[in-house]
Amino acid sequence: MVKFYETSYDYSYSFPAVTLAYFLRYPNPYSTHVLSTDVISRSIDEDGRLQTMRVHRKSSRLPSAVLKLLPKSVLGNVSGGRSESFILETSTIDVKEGWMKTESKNLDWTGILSVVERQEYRRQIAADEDDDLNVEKGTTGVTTTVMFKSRLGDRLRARAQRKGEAAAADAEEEPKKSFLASWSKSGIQRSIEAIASRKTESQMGHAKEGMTVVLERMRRGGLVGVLEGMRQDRALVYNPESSA
Amino acid sequence: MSRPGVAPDPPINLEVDDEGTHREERKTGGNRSEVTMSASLAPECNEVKERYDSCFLKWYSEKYLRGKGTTDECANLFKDYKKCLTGALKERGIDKMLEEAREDHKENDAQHMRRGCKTLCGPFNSYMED
Repeated sequence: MVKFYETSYDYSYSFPAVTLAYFLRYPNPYSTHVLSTDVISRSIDEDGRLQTMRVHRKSSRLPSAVLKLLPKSVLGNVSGGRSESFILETSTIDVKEGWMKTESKNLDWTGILSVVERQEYRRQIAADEDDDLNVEKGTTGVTTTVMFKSRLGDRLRARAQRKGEAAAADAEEEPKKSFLASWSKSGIQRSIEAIASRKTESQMGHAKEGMTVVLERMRRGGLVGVLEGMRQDRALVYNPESSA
Repeated sequence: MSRPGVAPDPPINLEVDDEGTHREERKTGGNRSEVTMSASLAPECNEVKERYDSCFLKWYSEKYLRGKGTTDECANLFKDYKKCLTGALKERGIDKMLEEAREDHKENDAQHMRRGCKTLCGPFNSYMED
């Protein structure tokens, strides 16, 4: 089963500024869960488009509702519901045509839940933009699509079905089997997807807030302003003790 | 009250001086984190990453965004950064995850229903079997 979420938003900043903010969006005050960001590849293709792949490391707290649904064997590296996960982000920017397409997805935990977020940024007012990258002018629209897919449910269901078929011959079904069968019937997959979906709505708000903070810093202090803001956020995120 | 709007803001300044952000880092001394931008997942790569990030930022804002960036001027710095990072990715098993993500991409969505779950089911095998 696949679940979709879609939303659109307009940033009142120029397209170049928004793309820059996208690359510089971590750290920001809304991204304290993002622990690191690395570029793993970057190239310009034959059409002059800039392609970038980055890996973000995030600390995540699994919702207790999800924890309850998961078998212990998959929770090996989770203590107290805290865990780290890696996100792969790919982006393509066409500065001439004025668009940027991005895709982010989780690299681990994919056996439980795959989340794929796609964004398409488009320059709205091309005529007002010029070489000085004036952020006062221009609007950049973004459409975000998030897709959730829980494979766990599929696997459990498939397995339970096979076991169920086999067990149908036996008069007495073991309690464990019936538990698994009912577990999958109850829609563990849908539950995980629903929980993830609820979480995502609030997280998408935070992502937008984070971008806006970076853009506002750019408006006020240029790139130096962004870097100065980052320095402060960084102190908070990466070494909270020393900034106290 | 602190919001702009009273006077028009000046056009954004996206220039980074030639030394990038490093000049200011030296001023702040060593007890704070030495890097300005996002950290690398491998602390030992922070320095080369910062050098590369600064180079990229300068190239991106001053050249690429103005339609003048046709070649990657930071390739050498990226090579250094990548060299450092590759080991760290391997150590943490991220290289494997990236490979899987690539394979996953090729795979059709329908295929996760496939029965023989050698690679896909992973940890679930042991759980389901006992």
